[in-house]
Amino acid sequence: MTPLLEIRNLNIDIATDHARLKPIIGVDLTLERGKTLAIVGESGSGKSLTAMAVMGLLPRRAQVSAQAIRFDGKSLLGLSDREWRSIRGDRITMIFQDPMTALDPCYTIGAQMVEALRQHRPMSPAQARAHAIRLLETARVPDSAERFRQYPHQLSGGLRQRVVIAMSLMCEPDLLIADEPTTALDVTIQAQILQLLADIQKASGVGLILITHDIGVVASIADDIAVMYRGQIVEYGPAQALLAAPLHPYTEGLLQSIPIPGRVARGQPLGYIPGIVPPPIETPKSCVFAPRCPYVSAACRAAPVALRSVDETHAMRCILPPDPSTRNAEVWTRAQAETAR
Amino acid sequence: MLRLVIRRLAVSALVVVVVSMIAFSLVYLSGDPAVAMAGENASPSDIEAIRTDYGFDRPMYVQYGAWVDNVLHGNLGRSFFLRAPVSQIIAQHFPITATLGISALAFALLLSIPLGVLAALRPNTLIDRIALAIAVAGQAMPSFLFGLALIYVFGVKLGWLPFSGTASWRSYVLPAIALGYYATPVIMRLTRSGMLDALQSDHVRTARAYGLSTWRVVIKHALRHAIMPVLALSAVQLGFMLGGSIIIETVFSMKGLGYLAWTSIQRSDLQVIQAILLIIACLYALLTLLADLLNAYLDPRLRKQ
Amino acid sequence: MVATSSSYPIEPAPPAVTLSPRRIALRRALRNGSFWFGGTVLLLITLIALLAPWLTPYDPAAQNLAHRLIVPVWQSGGSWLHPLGTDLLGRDYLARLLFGARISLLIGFSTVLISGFIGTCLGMAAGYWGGRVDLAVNFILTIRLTLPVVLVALVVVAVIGNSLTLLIVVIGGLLWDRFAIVTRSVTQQLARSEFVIAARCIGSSRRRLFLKELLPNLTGQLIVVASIELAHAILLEASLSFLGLGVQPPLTSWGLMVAEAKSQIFFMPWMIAIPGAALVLLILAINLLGDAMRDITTPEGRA
Repeated sequence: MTPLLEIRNLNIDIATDHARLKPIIGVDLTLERGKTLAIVGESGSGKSLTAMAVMGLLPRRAQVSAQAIRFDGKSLLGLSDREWRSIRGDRITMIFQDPMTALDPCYTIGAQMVEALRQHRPMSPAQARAHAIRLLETARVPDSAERFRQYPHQLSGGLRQRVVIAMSLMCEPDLLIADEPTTALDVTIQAQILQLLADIQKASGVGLILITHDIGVVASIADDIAVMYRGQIVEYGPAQALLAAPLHPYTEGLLQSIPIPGRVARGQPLGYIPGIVPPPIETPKSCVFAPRCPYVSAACRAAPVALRSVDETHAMRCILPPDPSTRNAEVWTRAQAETAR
Repeated sequence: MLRLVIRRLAVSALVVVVVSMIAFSLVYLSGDPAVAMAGENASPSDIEAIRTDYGFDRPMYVQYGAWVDNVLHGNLGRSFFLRAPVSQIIAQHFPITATLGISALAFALLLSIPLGVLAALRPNTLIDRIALAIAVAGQAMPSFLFGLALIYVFGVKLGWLPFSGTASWRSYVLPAIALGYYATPVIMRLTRSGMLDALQSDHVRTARAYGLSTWRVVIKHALRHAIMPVLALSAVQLGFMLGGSIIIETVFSMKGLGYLAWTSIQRSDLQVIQAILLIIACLYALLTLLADLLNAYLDPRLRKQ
Repeated sequence: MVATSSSYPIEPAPPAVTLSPRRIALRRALRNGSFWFGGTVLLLITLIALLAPWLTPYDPAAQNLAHRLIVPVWQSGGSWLHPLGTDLLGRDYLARLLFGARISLLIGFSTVLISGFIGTCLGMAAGYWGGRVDLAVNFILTIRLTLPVVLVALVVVAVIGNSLTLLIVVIGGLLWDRFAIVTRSVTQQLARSEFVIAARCIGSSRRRLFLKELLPNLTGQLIVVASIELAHAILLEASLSFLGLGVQPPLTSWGLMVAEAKSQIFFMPWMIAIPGAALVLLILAINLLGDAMRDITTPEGRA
């Protein structure tokens, strides 16, 4: 069966006044129907840009080149404006990070939902209204008919995100991309929203791409995880396997920096990955993670590292052997101590 | 919303009161208004007659009180020169200035807003640079000069349009352009910057993400936000135009309020001057009030305040 | 393979090169086209204005009815004796043009000093003390904005009697609004900023605070506003002179020249075009310079 979304060798170049940036280099991704793919990485890793490329929403200055970007078998490269407008909101929808600003404050949420719906479906205003309210209920928005008539500023952040999710499902899309859907919300609401997404995905079979910087968030909801660093995929594999035994040092670093109660003794410093994500200016001439990697060796700095398959479903971009026994969580503590000095 | 309206009205009322005091007392800067009105060849008895007739012998605050009382009853005094009630004279001259002002504003908006939107849609391209050039050029020319230039090119050389009097609607075209273009740069720049911001906003991104047509995105979701400060600015500009119409009316020989003000100043027809200052200031206060209320209507978030 | 400390370098940040704000501003200025054009033209006109008596042998007010309405040198019948011709009263047009520059710049700069002073004082008071002072200043500002500037100026000048000093005082007393608005908002921000609070903590007197802490940080914005108001002042003076209630003979003003030439628009349009072009050039230069100053003093670039 054709995968829902296939990205092969995606590269994005952006020409600014000062430099040519290369924020995305050689990204490969696959999403099967009805599955959830989580893209994880720090800010600056390029995960949002990848999503924007799938939606065709990159700024004019960005040049996209790829061997293939195929949605349901059909290429998304070089589509006209009109073709894009028929896909966006209908077959592929996207929800963004900040629900406070995602909706137009001058119009009621009902008006905005109906406008988006009638863009893609021939419906009377009454039919559209009924459909929209039904979807608000699916997204567990209480008093849906009442909320339909309200303005965005009258709703709380969590409620707004539910509205946004409802809106994204109106045309029964095949693919839903959620870019940091819970980052701007309270921790208690985060769990609710993620559960909502998981339930919706199970019920409707929509393909879900979940983008987040918080690897802890994806454990229960993702089928596969792609870890991105500096515009490249550094590890890719089934969620459970990857989380249980991360192979790439960066993934390992991310996991050890999650403060899990009980794992870190009281009074001990929290884990983190020393250093910062490098700016996306040059084509990498070595492993992109080398400057921050506690396992680094001379070979790492000599040449760029290719993504290699560990088995059918798992891949990583590292020259270390794919053997969990060669990884040692202690190195992180040591590296943190070094930089603290 | 009601609280907002009442508070704004109160402030406006206070402003109008102070402005009326200024409008009233400005003409007294000459020292003796009776002397000014009587003119150069007047005899002492003429001056005295004017003084008692117009009550200049009373204390200032009494005169002011009487004046306000009259104004509130619709009586703007009596023109010494034209021997007719001021309100009647103003009523004759006002429609021309009003037509001129509104046409000028309409011209400015019809030119600036589309230019501003286009410039924002294609920043740093040819259309943007043209719009910017128009803006820069427009601000550098005094209105009287532009008016004369228009007269020369379109009136004298090409003979397309009349350039004096107010015989037909065509007579208003050149004056409207001359009066309105000075507002064009500032309106266009504001539209452009407002649109640039609006087009970057998250909710426009959402609209695009739902495949809405460019027209919808630009007009309904972007322009609607960008237009708010432009409306307030337009009201202000209309106020300026009403105040500055005196120059255009002189250049194009139109007998509007500005022209009336001009002749009254020359003849020291003080009652008319006071009345015109008051009316134009009140109109301006009214226009800014309308602009604020309109802003509140357009942005539901502001209604709460 | 486990790393040792020597194989774990965090790449060092490149050394920071800091320039003083003044040098940064200077660099930006020198790269800005509007700055060069505007600055050069303004400088040129200022020089012409200062050197006017030496640049022409004629007295701009000297009438010579035997030589009225001579055409400029580029028309048939013109001569280099009067390169720009003469006007209705036989006065040399070039001389009038050069001396007109003096008036425009004199009035422009004087009024900006006055309006700048008024506006900055009001604005600083409103921004620093806030509360009732702010309300009072806002009220005064609203009053000022509600008054039609041209009309009020005309009435005052007509009623009191015309003189150059009065003209400067009236225009300066009317065009302070933008100064006040900008100064107020900048002072508001600055008053809450850390270094001002620090200065107050060490007990700086209020006067010292205003002069040493607030004012220097305002200069960038003030220069931009000053250029805008300079243009406004010159335009207002030209308009008033055009209407006959501005600069009076024997003094020369470009607005006055246009007014006098109005009757000749059909046969001798250059008589309007020449002073007109001078006005446009001067205002354009000031506007471009002001734009350049704005770009230089704001860290973020234009969209």
